[in-house]
Amino acid sequence: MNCEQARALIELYADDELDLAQSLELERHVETCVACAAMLADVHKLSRAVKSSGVYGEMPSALHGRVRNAALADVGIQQRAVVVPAPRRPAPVAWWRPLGIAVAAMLILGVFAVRWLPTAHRATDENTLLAQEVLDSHVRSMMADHLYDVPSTDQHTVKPWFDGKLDFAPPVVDLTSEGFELAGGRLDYIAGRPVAAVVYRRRKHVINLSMWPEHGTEAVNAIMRNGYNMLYWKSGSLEFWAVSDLNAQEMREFVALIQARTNSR
Amino acid sequence: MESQERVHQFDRVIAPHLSRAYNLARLLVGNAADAEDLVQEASLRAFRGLDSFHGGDSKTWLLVIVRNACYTFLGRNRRTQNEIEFAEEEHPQTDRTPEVQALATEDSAAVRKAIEELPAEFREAVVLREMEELSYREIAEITGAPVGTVMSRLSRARAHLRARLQTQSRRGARP
Repeated sequence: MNCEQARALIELYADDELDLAQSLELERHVETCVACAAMLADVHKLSRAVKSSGVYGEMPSALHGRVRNAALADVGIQQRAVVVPAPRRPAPVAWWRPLGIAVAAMLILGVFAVRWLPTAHRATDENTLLAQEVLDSHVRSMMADHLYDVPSTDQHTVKPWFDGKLDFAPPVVDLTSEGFELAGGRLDYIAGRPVAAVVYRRRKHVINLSMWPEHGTEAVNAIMRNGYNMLYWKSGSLEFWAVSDLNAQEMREFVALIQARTNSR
Repeated sequence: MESQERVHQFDRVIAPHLSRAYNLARLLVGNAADAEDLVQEASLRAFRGLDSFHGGDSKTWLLVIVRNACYTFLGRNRRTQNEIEFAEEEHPQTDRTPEVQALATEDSAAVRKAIEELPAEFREAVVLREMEELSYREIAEITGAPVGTVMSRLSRARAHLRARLQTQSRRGARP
């Protein structure tokens, strides 16, 4: 490759648009040609200058909520408030930290309530907060494109992955033949503790099944929040939360399958 | 249920790209207030037309709609003069002498100003490439131009930025 040929390709190379063979040829040329190497460095330098110039600004924080409400109002959905906070870049932890503390506090209160009060039901407020946390976790997993830490359709891959990461062994069952495809597993942090999230897919819908150790047995409760179906129950010293935008009927079917498989283990 | 599907669709298809849509709009129309309005208007249009979106890349899809809204807005509000000037300006490849001069790249304000001076088509090519790190093919899809055109716009835009920043470097001051 001579300089003339190289110069035609320098920007393409910097932009990652060359195939492997061309890239290698150009790299070989640049190694021996000071002038072309300088031109390539120049393209990189300009690129860095643009990236660090601040030409991209922060989106006004209210815009996400404004657009979302306008869109939903357009299809006749009235939102009580903006429930899904925009992913704010500068302080991504700031908004949920108070919620986390609140949930932790409520959990402590909840433990006392369960211990000392005759009723086995937890305070409604606590479940509301927990529901919000589970839901936030579900939405975050979809928005941030962080559905799974271990993408796999094989339960024998997903289950061992959790080993050593949690102080309990989450059940991972394969429901592919029933139409709920196992998609992967993920570690979440809910109610002040690491929890297991097993991800399933039904057609284009994602179901997040979160679980963590909890005493007692409780039948399935269902709530609907912001258009998501949330089903939760306790069995086998675990608490389960299933969240999805899937319809209620199929969610019940899913939960029944999970219950049948986890109880028979 | 219809309504929950719609909520979820918004969060999945539109929400993740709002920030880049806003930035592209702001750089195309040149001010934040118009950009906000355009992003809202375009997102609403995108949301209404969600049925026409069948998988694929939702980022590209939304940016096309936002970009079109911006160009419609620009066409309504002013005819861009600098495009004609830019076209007549000399940007021969021979500008690029092997002796590379120092670029005033540490001066962020100067870099931003040089980008803002570019005609819209060249500005968006630079921004989509450098800030969004999109491929030529993706940029072509968003801007509706052939890949070859994207390539030459990008190259000319860089030559322009280089020339601007070198001039400033030599003169030690902004024009």
